[in-house]
Order: sequence, then structure tokens, then C-alpha cells
Amino acid sequence: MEQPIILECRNVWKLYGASADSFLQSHGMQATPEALRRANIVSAVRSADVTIRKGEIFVIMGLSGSGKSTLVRCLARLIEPTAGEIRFEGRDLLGMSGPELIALRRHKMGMVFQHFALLPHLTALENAAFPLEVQGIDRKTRLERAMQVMELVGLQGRENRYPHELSGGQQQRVGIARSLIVEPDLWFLDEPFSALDPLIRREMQDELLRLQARLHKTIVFITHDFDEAIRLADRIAVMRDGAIVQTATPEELVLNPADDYVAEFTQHIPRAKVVRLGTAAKPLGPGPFAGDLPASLRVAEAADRIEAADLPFRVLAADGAPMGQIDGRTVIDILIGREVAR
Amino acid sequence: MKRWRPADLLFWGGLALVTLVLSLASKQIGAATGWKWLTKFPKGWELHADRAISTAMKWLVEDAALGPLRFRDLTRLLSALVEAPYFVLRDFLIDGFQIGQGQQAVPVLPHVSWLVVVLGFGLLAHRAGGFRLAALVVASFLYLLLFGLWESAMVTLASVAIAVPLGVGLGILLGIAAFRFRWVDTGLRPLLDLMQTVPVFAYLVPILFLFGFGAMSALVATIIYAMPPMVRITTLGLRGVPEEIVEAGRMSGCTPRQNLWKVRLPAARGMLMVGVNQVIMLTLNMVIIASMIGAGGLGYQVLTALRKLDVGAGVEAGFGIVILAVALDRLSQAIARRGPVVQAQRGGDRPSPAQPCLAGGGAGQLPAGRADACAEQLSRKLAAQHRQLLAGGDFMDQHQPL
Repeated sequence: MEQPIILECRNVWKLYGASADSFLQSHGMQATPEALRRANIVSAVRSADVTIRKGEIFVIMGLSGSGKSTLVRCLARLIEPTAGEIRFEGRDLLGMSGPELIALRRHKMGMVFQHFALLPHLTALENAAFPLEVQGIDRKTRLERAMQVMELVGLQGRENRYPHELSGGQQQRVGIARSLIVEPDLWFLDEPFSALDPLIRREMQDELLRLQARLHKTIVFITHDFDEAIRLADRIAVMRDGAIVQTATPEELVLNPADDYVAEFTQHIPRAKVVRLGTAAKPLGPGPFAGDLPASLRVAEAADRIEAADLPFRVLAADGAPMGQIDGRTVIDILIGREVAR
Repeated sequence: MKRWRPADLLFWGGLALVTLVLSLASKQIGAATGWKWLTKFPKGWELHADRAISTAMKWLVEDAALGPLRFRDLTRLLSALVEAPYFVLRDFLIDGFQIGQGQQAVPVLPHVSWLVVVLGFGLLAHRAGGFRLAALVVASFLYLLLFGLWESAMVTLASVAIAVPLGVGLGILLGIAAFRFRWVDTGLRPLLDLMQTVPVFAYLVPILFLFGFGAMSALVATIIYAMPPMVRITTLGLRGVPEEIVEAGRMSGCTPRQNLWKVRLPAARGMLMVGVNQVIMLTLNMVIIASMIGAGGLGYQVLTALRKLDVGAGVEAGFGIVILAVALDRLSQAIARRGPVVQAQRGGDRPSPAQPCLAGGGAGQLPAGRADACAEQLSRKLAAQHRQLLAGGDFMDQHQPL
């Protein structure tokens, strides 16, 4: 049961340079990095295809300069792509007029920024209420709404502070509150935690998962941190030099990296935190079994119980049908990083 | 190093030879050929635009008209519009309200007591910046009282209170226009250069022609002098707003207009306050010169002292201007600073907007790192002003209608 597509982009290019437009028309798909370099054109995004489904956390991962920030700005149409097609809920995003786009952003999109981008002259509460202010909603109503989102992000009691009186983590909570106040369908987060200390970053990741469990938004999350991507993502698109190298679930990325570049990221990731029981399970034996475990559970989450039991566990698919079994030995193989036989 | 080509050698060598011959023997050649112009540039070849300009100016003031509306009426209307609030303020502070003119004037309301002014400013300063600012402001006003400068100071205060908001407002509007439209920026830049480089004394006379002796002329001269930094700083400040903040505004659903007025302009507030500081300082800088064309006040005190070579009185009044400038600047900064101005950028890889030290004024609110450069600029500026004042000596003697 696949969710409906919210955002879909096909063959999106963003090139910088004097002759970028004509170059792309004449070269089409043959615009290789070498050809672009020879024509003195900087390619930020090359032929990107992305399909984002309702309710998923879609992470775009890449090192700095890989074009991930440019791509997400193209998806939000903060930057005009050089070529390509972007459809938001089936509507052509690039063909929209200015007023249509403003209406869309006022009701359907929200964005969180790396350096928070709060307005320095407004209090935290007024910042959170800003998207409603520009819609012309009266002060009382919008501040009430802002109070609700401030509570949602755990900032009650600090409404009347100015941004410079808040810590980085608190400022980003205000940024999150501001982006959520219009109840967007599509929520962009552009490296939201990169400017924070590691401990705060982890706390904020948990916070995001908590919010998502409650709100079920469609999230496009940008990061350069592969651990963060693994932790949050339903699916990850890995970018390199402006192109998307691989789009897959964290599990697939770790088990089947498309090339050496992706493999380099994944090799340090503990398998047990990514691989699910359904993937690790061996063919179903005759039994007896110690119990049943769902296939969607990650190995690390069930390792204690499986390892402690003498008998293997039965692994059940989402519909409840047994699909295999898993024993302590398999779990240990995965935990210590020995190759998993598939 | 490029190698000389024979053609280059021939050209430059020939030129050097001609120069040498002309410098050694131009008189002889002139005598031999009758070409006197070789030694002395003939008078007849000089251009005389000065007369044309004077005629044009006369025409502008006396005859120029757009349909029934004469140019002179326009300048008069402008004067009346600007002078009305000025005189109300002046009446309130020092002159007292009257009905009628000259001898027949009937006093209606007396001017406000000095105590009220001092206490009012003290309270305002206390609210805006606490006890220390209040102490500074009250001490400044006490200085003016103690040295008998009160009435002049109130006249100056009234004109500054009109000139600064006008200069700041016009400056911001022009700055925004230059930010929005490239052609405005291109056109404005040389104009601002002109406003900042043409000596004040060069445009005092044309302004006198257009607006007559009085507050309006003083105001126009002051604004020409004090506004350019505001325009430049506004444009610079708007450009320096971090791109992310602008994007946040767009993603919040701002129209382009909202993004300018609700996002960019407030986010540039720190820079704009540097501009306000510059306008206040430069306005008070102009007080002496403006008093020559009818502003009166503290500047006039300095001027009369200067003319009588009364060094003591000149220093007293001059120091009064400085004190008024500092008090007004600190007060305005504190009022604007009651909301936060500086944005805390953490770990930003975006360039923070530079805080340039623009021509002149005090180093009041500039970041510490720039203080030295500023002090140097300031002293250079003051020296230039000093020269201007001395050079203007004959102008004062001949043209002062006093």
C-alpha cells in the first residue's frame, strides 16, 4: 500500500554560468561533468530525480558542495532550476505564478534553516507567528496559535525572549515552530541541526522523531551527517557532485551500496542498527521457537532477547504470516560485523 | 616585462624630443613664427560657463514655470511646509507662541521652562538607556544652561529635530530605491559622491537664491551634507542581510513588498542605526555653516565669536555643539536599541555584513575593531572642515547680511 506522491521532480538541473541555458539545450543528457567544466559552467545539480511520498522522512545526504542545499531550494522554488520538471501534489510547481507560489508557501510548505534565520527584531513568539502575520491574520489569533506551536516544540515560558537571548537549540526550536504554524503538508529541513553542539543535535533529532510520530508530516531533510541520515530516514538520497548517486532505504544502502562512494559512508555504520529482522532471517525451520518477533524490528533492538534465548525466534511479516527464523548466532554475526549471508 | 617594439620606441622617443624642444625654445619659436599660444594659453580660448550658469540660475528663480506653477512658488511652498513644524517646535522650546507679526505680536503661550526640557529629556533617557544615559543627557543640558547657551541650544535643537528625521527618512527611501533598482543605484552613486565632495560653501549661494535666507536654506544645505551616508548605509545594510533570513521570509509566504519592509529592513536595523548616528553627527557638524544662511542657534554663537576673535566664547559654544551631538546620538541609539539589533549568528559560514566607517561623524556606535580606522578618518575629516572654514573667511565678511 503505497502512499500518494507529494513531490516529484524529474531531470532537474541547476547550472551556473554565462551560457548555462543554451549549453544544456545543445548537450541534453550528454552534459557530463567534463563537458561542463570545459564550457566554464558550474553545475550545482545535475539531472536529479526525486519522488517523495506522503508521510515519509526523505533525507538528502551529501558532503558540502554536493548540491544538496541547491536541490532543496529548487524543490521549494527558492531557486529557479535551469531545466527539469517539479510537480507538487500533481501541480506544475515551475509553471506557477508569483501569487500562486506565495499562496502555496502560506498553506502547504514550511522550511527550517541551518542558521535558524529568525528575525532579530521580533520575540520568539512573534517569530513563530510571522507566517500568520504576513497573511494578515489578527494579532490575537496568531499569537494564540503561536503559543500552541511553542508548546509543541517545548518552548513555553520563553515566548518573550528575543532570538539573541536564546541558545542555538532554542533558536532552532523557534525556527521549527515558525515552520509548523501554517500546518504545512511538506516540511523542508535544511541542515537544521548542523550548527548545534553534538549533544543538543541528538536531543533535537529525538525531538524531530517525537514530533513526526505525532504530526505525520512529509519531510525533506538535508544533512551532511550520514549517522543523522540513518537515524531519521525512511529513505535516503546520496548526492555527489550535484548528482544523486543512490536513493534507497538505510538498510538497502548499508547492505547494497551502489558504488564505492556510498560504501565509504556505510562501512562504519553498525549493521545491527540498520538491518531489520526480516532481512536477517533464515528460512523457517521446524521449530520449536522461543517466540515471535515482527520483521520490521531492527536487529539491535531485539538482540538482547534473541541472544538470551536457547531457541530461535520466529519472524513475522507485517500481515502476521511467519517469514523465517532468527537465532543468537545470526544476531552475533551481525553485531560483530561478520558478512551476513543473504 | 614587455619588450619595446620599434614603433613604440619611435613614438615615445619622438614625443620626448618634441617636449624637450618646446620646453627649451618655445619662446624663440613663438617669436619666429608668430605662434604666441605656444608659450601662453590665450584668454580667448577659455570657456565661460560661469555667466551662463548665473543666467540659468536667475532664470530658474525668477521666470521658470511649469504652466501656472512658477518654480519660485514651488520652493516657497516647500519652505512653508518644512518651516511650519520647525517654528512650532521653536516656539515651544524657546520663542513662545504668538499671534501676529513683529511689533503687533501678542503672546499667547509662553515657551516651556528649561526645567521641563531637562527633566523630560532625563526621563526619556532613563527609560531608554537607564541611569547612566540619563546622567549623561542631564549633564549635557546643564552645561548648556551653565554657560548661557540655552536659548541658542534650543534653536539648534529645533532645527536638528527637523533635519535629522528628514535626512534619515529621505536617506532610507533613496537607499531602498537604489537597492531595488539597479539604474537608481548607478545614477545615485555619482550624485552622492558630488554631495559629499562639493565644498559646502560652493552650494550655499545657489541655495540662498532658491530658498532665501532662513531655516529652509539651512535645512537644505544640512540635508545635502548629512544624508549621503544614510543612503549608502541603507543600500549596504539591505544587501548585507543574510540570504537565509530573506529565504525564511519568502518561505513564510511574504510578498516581495512584505519581504522588503517586514524582513530585510528590520533585519538591517543595526546598520541603519549606524546611518542615523552619521546623520546626527553630520547635521551638528553643519550647525556653524548653516547658521551663516539663517539657522541661528549655537552655530551663530560660534560664528560671532570667531569674527570677534573671541576664542573663549567660541570654544564654549563649540563645545556646546559637541555635547548636544553626543547626547542626541546616545539617546537616539538607546531608543532604537531597546529592541535587540544585533543578530546572534552562530557558526555561520555566511559573511556578516561589514560595518564600514563612512565619511565623518563620531565613532560612537562602530565596532571596536574599526575604531582606529574611524578615528583616523574622523581627524582627516575635521582637518578638511577646518580648512574649509578658514578658506571661507572672505565669504563670511562679504556676504553676511548681519
